[in-house]
Amino acid sequence: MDRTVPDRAGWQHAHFAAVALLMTASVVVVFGVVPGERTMGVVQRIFYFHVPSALCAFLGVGLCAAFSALYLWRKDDRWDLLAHASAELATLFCTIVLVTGPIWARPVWGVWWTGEVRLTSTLVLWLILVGYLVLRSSAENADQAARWGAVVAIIAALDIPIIYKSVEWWRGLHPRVLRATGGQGLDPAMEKTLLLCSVTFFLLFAYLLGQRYRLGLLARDVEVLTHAARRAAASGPGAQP
Amino acid sequence: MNYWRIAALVALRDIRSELRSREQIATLLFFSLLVLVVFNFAFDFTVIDFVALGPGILWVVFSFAGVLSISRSFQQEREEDRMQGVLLAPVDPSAFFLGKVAANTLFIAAVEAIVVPLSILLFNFRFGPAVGLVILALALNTIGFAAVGSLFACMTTRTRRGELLLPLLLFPAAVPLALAAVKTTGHLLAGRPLERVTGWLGLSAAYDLIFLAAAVLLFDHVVEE
Amino acid sequence: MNAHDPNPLLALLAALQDAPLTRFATETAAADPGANARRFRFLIGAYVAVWTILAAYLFTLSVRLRRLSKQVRRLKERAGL
Repeated sequence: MDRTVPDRAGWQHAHFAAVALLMTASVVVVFGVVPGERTMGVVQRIFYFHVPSALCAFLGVGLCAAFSALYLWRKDDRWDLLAHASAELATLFCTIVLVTGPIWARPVWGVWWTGEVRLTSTLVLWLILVGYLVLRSSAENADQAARWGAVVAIIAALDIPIIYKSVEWWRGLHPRVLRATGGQGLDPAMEKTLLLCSVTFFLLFAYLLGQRYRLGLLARDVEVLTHAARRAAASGPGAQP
Repeated sequence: MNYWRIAALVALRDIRSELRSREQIATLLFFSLLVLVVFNFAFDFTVIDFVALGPGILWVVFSFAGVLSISRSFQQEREEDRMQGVLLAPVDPSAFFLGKVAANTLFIAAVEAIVVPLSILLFNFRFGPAVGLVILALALNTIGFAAVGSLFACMTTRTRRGELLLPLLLFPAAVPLALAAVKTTGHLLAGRPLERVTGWLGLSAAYDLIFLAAAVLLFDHVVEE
Repeated sequence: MNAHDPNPLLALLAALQDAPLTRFATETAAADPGANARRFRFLIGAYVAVWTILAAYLFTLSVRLRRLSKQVRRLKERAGL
């Protein structure tokens, strides 16, 4: 039952370096290279980090649900560790979306919260994710946390598209997707920049997922080893003074 | 024992014990009335349109009452330790779950049937055929609310932070129902043509089906020890 | 890159594209200059926020990773593995 964390330090460092490099490139391109948007001005450049963060949040939710389903099917707790890690990352990126959104909105529309359909739904998503994390931490033991988390994750994954759609219908508007060039679709340079930033963020997500998964494995190892040590001490032979 | 018989038995047991004690419905009714009264003071309805604000107020009242009802329903199970017996029976435990959902839906719907006419009186609105339709629409949304709520409550009532956790999980998850309920009620109270309402009713029905099915399938994982 | 250039970064950016500085200038001229300075502050604020959140998470992750690795090593030594 050797669950030692495989020491792939070399790969991890390379991955981190790649992320750092791409991130630098992204910043340079976003600030220096890509043309500005006509009506919103400089602040529109937030878009290039705001959208990839949202994509990562959705990716996290989808992965969490998939890993949860795998866990319920296979009962291998490594799937659960991946599910928990995905949810945490989804929450992280969702927070970034909710922070950058209002910062973008304030100078452009004069209000912090525009009641825009996508941001409203994302706030609901954030609440669901927080609920997931709190429920897990409130469970009695790891097995219960895993099973309950999995149930909530699957319900959430089914619910989220319905939430986004129903909020859209509720507002009665065509979704106000903030198109960079006034509704005519994205300028190709902007498209490429968005692609670059998205790739960067996905790589960052993968890196963080790996690290968080490692953390989960280590935590399990600690638990297992502590439990084993306690059992050994309790059933120790008369050699114990 | 037949699956549907078990579900029916569980539901009838809850309903019968409620008819005897009338404790839960009474509590829910008084709670709902209190919240309505608070809204009566919070908004001046001589100035503001009940059609605009009423649907939202009603859904808020029923959401809170619903959370109370559902968590109480599962806490009772824990207190009386009845779940063990049911789960030991050689039937799918989700039959038990369906019975609970049915009973909870009925309780909340009963409260809705009483509170909606009362709110119309309180806020000086007019009675009409719309009132009955409003109650039916709310009941439709209550099914989904009770389904997801019961699934979550089965977990949260077994934690220390249960009272906080159930609303935290349920309210975001039930957002589509909230939107559908408010929109449907608003259109009905305003006397708008029924075509405006069919879309939202469709959403409610779809939500109910999807999440009843999902909850039934997932319930086993909630209770296995 | 001109060694006498007071700001090599600006020179680098200019070299990367035809006239990125002119584009910024166009945006500035198009709108009220005060507003654009304000918008630039918001832009910087947003990016700083993103960086802070990511860095904070990375930091807590690495701290916990190190602590747990040490704990695992200690437990293994004690168990005589």
